[in-house]
Amino acid sequence: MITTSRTRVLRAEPTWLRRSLIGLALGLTLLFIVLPLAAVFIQAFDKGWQVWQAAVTEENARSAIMLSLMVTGISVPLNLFFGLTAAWTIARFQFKGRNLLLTLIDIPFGVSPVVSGLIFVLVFGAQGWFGAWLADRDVQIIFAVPGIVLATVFVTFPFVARELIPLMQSQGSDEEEAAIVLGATAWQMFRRVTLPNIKWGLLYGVVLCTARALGEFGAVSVVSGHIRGATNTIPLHVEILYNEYNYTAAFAVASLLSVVAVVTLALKKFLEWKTREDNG
Amino acid sequence: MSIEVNNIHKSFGSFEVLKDVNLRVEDGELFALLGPSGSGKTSLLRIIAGLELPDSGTIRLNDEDATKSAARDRQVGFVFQHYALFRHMTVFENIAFGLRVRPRETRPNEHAIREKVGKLLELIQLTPLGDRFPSQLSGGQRQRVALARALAVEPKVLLLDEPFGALDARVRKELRRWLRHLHDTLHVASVFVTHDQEEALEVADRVAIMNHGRIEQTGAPADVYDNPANSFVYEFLGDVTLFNGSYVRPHDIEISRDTNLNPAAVLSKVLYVGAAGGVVRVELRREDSGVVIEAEITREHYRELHLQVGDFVSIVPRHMKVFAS
Amino acid sequence: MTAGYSTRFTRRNSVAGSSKSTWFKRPGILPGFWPAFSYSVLYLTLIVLIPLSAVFLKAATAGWSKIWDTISSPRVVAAYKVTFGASFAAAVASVVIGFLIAWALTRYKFPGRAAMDALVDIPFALPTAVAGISLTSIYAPNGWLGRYLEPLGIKVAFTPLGITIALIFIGLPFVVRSVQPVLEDADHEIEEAASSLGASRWQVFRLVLLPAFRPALLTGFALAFARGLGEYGSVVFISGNLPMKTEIAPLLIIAKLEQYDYAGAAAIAVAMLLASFLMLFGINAIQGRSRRFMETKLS
Repeated sequence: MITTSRTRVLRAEPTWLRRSLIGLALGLTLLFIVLPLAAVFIQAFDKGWQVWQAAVTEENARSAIMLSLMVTGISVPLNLFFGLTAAWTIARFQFKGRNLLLTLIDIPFGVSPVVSGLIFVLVFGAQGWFGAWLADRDVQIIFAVPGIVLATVFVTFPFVARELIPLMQSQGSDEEEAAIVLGATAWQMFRRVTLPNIKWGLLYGVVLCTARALGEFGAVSVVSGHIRGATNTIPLHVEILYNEYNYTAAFAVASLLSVVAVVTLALKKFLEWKTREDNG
Repeated sequence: MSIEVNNIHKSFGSFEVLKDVNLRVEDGELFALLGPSGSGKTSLLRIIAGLELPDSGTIRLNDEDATKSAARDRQVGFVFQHYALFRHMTVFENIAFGLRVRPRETRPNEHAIREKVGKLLELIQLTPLGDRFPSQLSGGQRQRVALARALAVEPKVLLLDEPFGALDARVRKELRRWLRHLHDTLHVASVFVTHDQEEALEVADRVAIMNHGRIEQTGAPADVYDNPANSFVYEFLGDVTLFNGSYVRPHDIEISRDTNLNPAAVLSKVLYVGAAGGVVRVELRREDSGVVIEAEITREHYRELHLQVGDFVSIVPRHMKVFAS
Repeated sequence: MTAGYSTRFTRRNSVAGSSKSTWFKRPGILPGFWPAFSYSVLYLTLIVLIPLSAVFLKAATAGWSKIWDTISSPRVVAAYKVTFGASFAAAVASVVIGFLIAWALTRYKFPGRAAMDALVDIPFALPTAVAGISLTSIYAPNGWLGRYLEPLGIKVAFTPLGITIALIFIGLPFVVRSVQPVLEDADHEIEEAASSLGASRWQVFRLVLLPAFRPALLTGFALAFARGLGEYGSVVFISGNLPMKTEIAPLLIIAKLEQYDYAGAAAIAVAMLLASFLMLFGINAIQGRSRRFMETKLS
């Protein structure tokens, strides 16, 4: 940022140029990024509050919300626990294969959502590896809730680990070593030293993980089977309403997810500020 | 409690950090591990603390084998180079930590903890700052909190990793004297690591000089300074200048106006005189070989000589050291 | 969120020469290595590695001729073309727009700057399906913007242009967040030195600043491009899904699955996976190079 008048003299663009660039940047941000978000809310309340309320409390919408919350409630704790163990391993120890592990954790970010769903169909689907075996035992994973959970876990897999690893590496292990030398047990060290130091980063990872779990579309779409009232999550319900030309209802339900997105961004700013404060 | 280090080897990958290190620190001693960076001194300290495991060799504490015992069972206090204070705890809670994590049977009650921490805060002269967080303290204050935290568990051995390394020059000197004083009151065997020879020689009872993973020499400060075992120790402990292939300290070079008194004297020309400071630095060029030599003389002697750049004087070395290479 | 991540792993590892390591020797004294390591590897294997290997094995068991037949069929080739073309165009546009936004955010002070900075992350947080229906409603022929573009002869929704616009939405934050830290860290003295040597503002930008930002721009481009290749939710509504014209590769996977052609779906997926892994590999190479570049600059 330009702070002193000395740097300003040498580094400033002429006023007209500066103003045009700012204007252009603002305009493009509004057009490409803000407008799509605003359009959701405007169209959600297009026909008034009552129509919105009816759309989000209607039976299929309610069951979609419940399913999404349940899937999120299972996936996030699983990935939270993995994030902690992976970060502890990678940020606190040197071992062969450490960089490989680090790279493998990132894989789900590089996989198309549709492929993320496909892989579970190939493993558990009717013609998949375990398809016949599961059918014999009358267990259904694909086109059922377990498949949705698996796809969501896969898609949100790296979030917590990726927040924690750089944070813990930048903090170093001195404090934990000090705790051990002072006589703390492993659990005391974790609860009294590690956890308080990483709590904001951990929470941030959980927030990102939750937002993505609630909003995942492509992967879940492949494994869900789109059975209304049974295997429809919130984004899938939005899709169905939209394809039925029920636009207002589609945007009403979508506005719920958009609120989650806005809250996520607010929390992100807050937690980034908290982390900086703790480590600054 | 005495510390004995026997035949310690340690490698990180293909890099040998410690090569057959042997050392004994007596109970009540203040001991310095001195060496340049990369000499293995911090690794040795961490191995004594149990923060690192040796590849081979033994550590004996109080004449009992402690090589395999866990860091938390060794009763050592460790002060980290960057203090490693718990950033989310107050000064008070930092110092109390070691008491609070004790097993229930041996954990002091809240009253006893308050009393103990209060005493330690008094000892480090930070009583009013008990409620502060580490980020609100100066470097010197953090260092003292780290020390109090280590002392709270009443360690039998105190280990300090570059205790003054991160502080500025004035605070360093102050804390150095304070540490010496503290040691004299507590009388716990203490080992500190430093790369500053002045610090080691001024504070410690005995010093071990390390280089490339080996201990080059161990002894009392005056002893190692006057009788260095080899050229590395000699060079590391103070400034040196070369004179006819032997080592001489600059303050051991005698300068005289009388140019034909001593047959060993060498005629030299004064190139530079630095008269700011406690001693006067003189740079001279030998007339016979053209080699430039540094000397240090007292201010008094400098005034007597009336040295000017361009003057011709005779120089004679005292206490030359010759080391087999 | 994603960019600039690997550059943060440096400090701790260089301490005390502990960068080398050995199996079965626990370094240091911190507890819990084996339980944490074992659980991490087990979970990673169950959730990621085994399912992912299924797609490769499925494609492999189908045989090369089947794979080739699938991915060389005209409809699939057309879908690849649409996907790659739109992703490339969108990544280029994201680089230009994203750089401009990042430049304004880091160089200028203006009212609303903090809000704009926060808003850049919207595409990261907004579920793709929501973005998809919203963009479609904006650019449809009777939509907010579509109704003004239509008379000008510009069709956006249900054309490759619509796909590109959706992918710009998805790709922009990757570019902004890749470039922003580099712009913030840029050495002001270098700019001042160039100015004092007589360079004009434009020359300083072109000859001094832009080369320094190139690795970050490339990283942002690669991230946006790779993300575009696999994107589904935000595209599937606006694309219209006309075979041979606006059908994207991920959609074909779903089509194959609906016909129970698992091997065909796997074949298309393998081609997509290889493309995106290649991109990620490229990103790592760029980041490695730019790190070395920064290091030589510092030393």
